[in-house]
Amino acid sequence: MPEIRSNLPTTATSLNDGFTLPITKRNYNRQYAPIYYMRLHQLMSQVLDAATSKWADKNVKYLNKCLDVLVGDTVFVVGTLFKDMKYKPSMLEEVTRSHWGAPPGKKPKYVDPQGDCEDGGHKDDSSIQLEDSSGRITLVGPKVQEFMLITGVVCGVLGTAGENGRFTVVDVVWGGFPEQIYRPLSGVNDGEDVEMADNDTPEDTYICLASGLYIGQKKTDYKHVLLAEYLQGLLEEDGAKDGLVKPKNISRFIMAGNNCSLESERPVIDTLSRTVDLDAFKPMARVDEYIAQLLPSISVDIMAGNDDPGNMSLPQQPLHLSMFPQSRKFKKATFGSVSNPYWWDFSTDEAPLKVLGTSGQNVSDIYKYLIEGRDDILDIMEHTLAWRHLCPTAPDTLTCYPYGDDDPFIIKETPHLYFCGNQDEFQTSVVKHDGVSVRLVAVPRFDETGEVVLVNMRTLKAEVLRIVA
Amino acid sequence: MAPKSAKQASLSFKSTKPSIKRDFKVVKQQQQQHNDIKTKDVKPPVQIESIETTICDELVREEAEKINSLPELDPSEKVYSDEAHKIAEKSIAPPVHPEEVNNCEKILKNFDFTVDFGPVVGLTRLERWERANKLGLNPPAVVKKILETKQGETEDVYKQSYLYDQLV
Repeated sequence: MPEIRSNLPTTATSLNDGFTLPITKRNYNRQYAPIYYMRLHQLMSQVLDAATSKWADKNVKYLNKCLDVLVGDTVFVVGTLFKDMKYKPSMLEEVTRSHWGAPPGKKPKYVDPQGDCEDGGHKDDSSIQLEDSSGRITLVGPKVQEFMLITGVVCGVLGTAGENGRFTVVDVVWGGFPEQIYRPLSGVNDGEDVEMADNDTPEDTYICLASGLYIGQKKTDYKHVLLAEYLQGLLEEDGAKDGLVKPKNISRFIMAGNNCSLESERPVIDTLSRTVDLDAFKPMARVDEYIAQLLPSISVDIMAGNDDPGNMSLPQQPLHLSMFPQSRKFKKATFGSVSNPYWWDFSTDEAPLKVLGTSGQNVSDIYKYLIEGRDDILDIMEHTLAWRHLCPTAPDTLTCYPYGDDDPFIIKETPHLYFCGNQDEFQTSVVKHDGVSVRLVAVPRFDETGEVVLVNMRTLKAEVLRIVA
Repeated sequence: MAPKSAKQASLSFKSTKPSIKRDFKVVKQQQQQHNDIKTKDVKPPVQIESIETTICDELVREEAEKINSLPELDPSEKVYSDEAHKIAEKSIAPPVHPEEVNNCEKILKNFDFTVDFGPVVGLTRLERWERANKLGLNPPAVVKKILETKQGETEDVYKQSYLYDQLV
């Protein structure tokens, strides 16, 4: 007899309001200064609270203006960080280099690995500065290397000003994790390790996270076909190993970015026979067909990524439904086109459950700011929650919409599950930090690894499912 | 199409209503009294006066009415001269061009220069005031009083920041 798929109720949440930009209200004539202003002012009070509670016993003064620091005093100031790096894309450098020679090739990271040395950035190219409404001061000292200091982070810095005007850092504090609606993990007592929580019961609901699917690629890849069959429940389960999640427990499939392929299956222009085959490259039509076969049986949410035909600046608007002629028939039922970033609210009466997801651009950009060995993706994700800001590098190295009166990337509430797509490999951890407990998941690219992530919505355990074809 | 094009430019530029490209005709009909037709004679057709307006005109008229309902700005009021006096006392340098600028403009320019309320570019002064108010920074109420008058809503010298024509 047919089995019913388990259902995960979802409600619309107002946390997504800042990410929707109706076309009639957009104004690209603005500068980016208001975003930085709003970010500093909205996070300043929280940073001050964290600073006074952390340094209460040290009896230090707080200065309103960072330019007011006098030599010798131990004070703390609050401002926005700025990290200047050797390979950071700079318009002036591009113009000069293209004038006198070949334009520079793209480097994988903005920092120069040999340059970052232990004495806090004196002789290398990467310098850190703190800026507030009055001016900027350069931060130096060995402690600077210990903290993850990225452009756009609002933080409080404790230290002394030196003779040359530079500020030697003793300690850095940021806002800390925002409050979280408490979610009791069933079967786990306080103090017990979450990883050893009770085993998954057959009634648990899962969601499936995938990213970097690149549907419609040139090479015939059966991984996608197998994934679709698995999600629909068409694969034989007799030979399945124990522990393989039954497809009927998977209630939602979230495609987190980079869904359509970049290359065509067959050449569009054929020079020999002088024909142009426009049907050869229709990546979104392939994506639409792929999703439409899943929709009658499973909910699918599609999120735009870097390589998708949507807008480039964050927040990426939901992919337009006109590209999904077959899938949009299920628009009110199982299909959802969502923005990047996006909040899901799967709360029920017993247990609140909020999920925050991005296609990974915010984390991948911060990755380029850090040298090898300090660039762990989960570390970056944890820091974005502690900084209370999803993408502090926007609008500096990451394009974003020029907001005039708000910075919607400020995280006001900690989610229970936080995932970022399009990463190199699957990584997951649980962060437990004074009252807040988050599961972090880095979702790998499917076309390279063949892995999708299954998250148990009751225990929030994440496991990977590898499809080999 | 509209003879009042200058006013239309300042009204509709920052209007939050979506711009309507095509003018749909709105026909208002004034019905005249019909006499009872008792005979089968064919009477001459009843004259119906119709006033034709377009949606754009209607919107313009609504905005004009809203603006006309605002109070007038009188720069010579004592409130403004007191405030301007206070600003002049606090300033370090003597004011430049003091005779061409009235008290209200001095107050508004001082509001522009206050660093605490954030960047000035890209916003009208009222938007900046609302933003500062939302953040809890206590912007001066007299500035809002000036901006919510007829001249404060329409004339760029009051409405927009001092950088408006140089730097959008």
